[in-house]
Amino acid sequence: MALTNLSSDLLNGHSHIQVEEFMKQGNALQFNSGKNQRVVRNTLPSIELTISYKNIDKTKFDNLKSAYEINHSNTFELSNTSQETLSEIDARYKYIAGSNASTYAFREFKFSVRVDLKYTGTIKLISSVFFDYPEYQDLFTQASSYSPVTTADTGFITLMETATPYQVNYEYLSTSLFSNIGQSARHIKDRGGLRKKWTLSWLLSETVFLALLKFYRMRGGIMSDFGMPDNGVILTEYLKTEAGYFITTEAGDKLITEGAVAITKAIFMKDSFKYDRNINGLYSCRADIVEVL
Amino acid sequence: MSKNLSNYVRSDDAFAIIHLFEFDMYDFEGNLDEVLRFTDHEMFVKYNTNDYTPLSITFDRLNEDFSMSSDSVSLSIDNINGELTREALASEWRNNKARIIRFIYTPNAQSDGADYYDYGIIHSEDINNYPYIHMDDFITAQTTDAYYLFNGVIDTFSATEQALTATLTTPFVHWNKPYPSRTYNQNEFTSIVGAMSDMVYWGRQNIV
Repeated sequence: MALTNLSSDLLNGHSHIQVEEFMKQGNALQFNSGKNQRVVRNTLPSIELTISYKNIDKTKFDNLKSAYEINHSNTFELSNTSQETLSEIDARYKYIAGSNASTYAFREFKFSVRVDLKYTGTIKLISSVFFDYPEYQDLFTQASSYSPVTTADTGFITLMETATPYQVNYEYLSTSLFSNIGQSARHIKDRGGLRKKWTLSWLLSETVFLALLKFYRMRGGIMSDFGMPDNGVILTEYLKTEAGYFITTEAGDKLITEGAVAITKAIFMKDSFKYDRNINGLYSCRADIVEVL
Repeated sequence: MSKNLSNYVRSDDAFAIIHLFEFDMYDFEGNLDEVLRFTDHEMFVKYNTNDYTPLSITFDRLNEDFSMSSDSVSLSIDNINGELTREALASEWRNNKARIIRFIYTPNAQSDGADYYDYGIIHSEDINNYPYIHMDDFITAQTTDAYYLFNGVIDTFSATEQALTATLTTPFVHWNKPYPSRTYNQNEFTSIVGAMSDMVYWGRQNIV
């Protein structure tokens, strides 16, 4: 079972890679001679890559999103031979044939999008010692499943036409179990239940805010679920001036329609709705919304 | 195999230590089904033509003393995906051989272009094959010490979704306990631990 190679999906368009390397682990062992010996337990350094993306468009973001959803609970290849950026950092391919040794697993997927519809975020990977050889791969089965539940409830989306967030943070909650050797990942068990989580941030006038607050009080907690656009993007048109962003009175049909293609069933996370009343009468608030399976 | 360390590794101040684990599994008819072989190294270890599978596996402190009163060791093995539970429930594991072998070796030097790493970078035997360390080759090169760290039998095991924990004992267990070894059933004791610690009331119900 060959692993998927996600090199082009993950590395094209990235702006920065932060690398953390975990060196060989060692400890001292004392023998009868009284001499302490340094013991090296592992031979492969583990590396954690935090790949950053800045201001990528929605097409590219969707590509990353789908790569994550299909592979969130299995190891995959990140071949270095075609990507000079990594060839000297992850040198495993030099000593173990080709890209078969350049195996990784997803740790984290976090993005945020603002009014300009440019996505910024990071994907965190950990190197894996579950190499792409039948001798390794055939021992344990790995698969990633994700099946979002949709709903026809559009109450929240209708509300968002007036109570429009200025930023949406997007991430996943995973329940997968990882088997580790040292710092490296080995095989992964998908326990199902991968869920999206959105954090919406608003700056609203009192009237609009009270409508949102009312919605939260009626539908918050375990009271009820509602429909959330799959990609969480329901930003309306904004007007940019020198002083900052202001909400226009134009209806934001463009993006709401785009987001409404797939409506995911979701609820507010417990007690996650926080708000401040500013001196100018505006309310700034944020809430965590999580997908219901 | 002895427990002596040769000068080949002792004279060096940097070396590697890994463990190999062997568990005999019998089918319910009493025939040897297979020998499970694991290593706590991160890649396969080949030794005596056998492959030892890399898996996250740890054991607690192993004590030996004069009285030989307590020679037991607890193992914890990753049970992600439930493969080990399936194996354990489909086989007879009780009272079968369990062995821990310790390898101490000096990793081979390795060159990367003009750079020379004293103790290597990645120790893989054959770039065109799956990654493994060949311990037989190390032995030939006289840079390895290997000895049986523990020889015994599998006593108990319990499993969760994340880990399988097993207790291994040697024949010396119960050596100085005031009762002969016997089997208990679960009506008598709420747990194996209860059985091990109950020394006075064996053979009859504990009536206070």
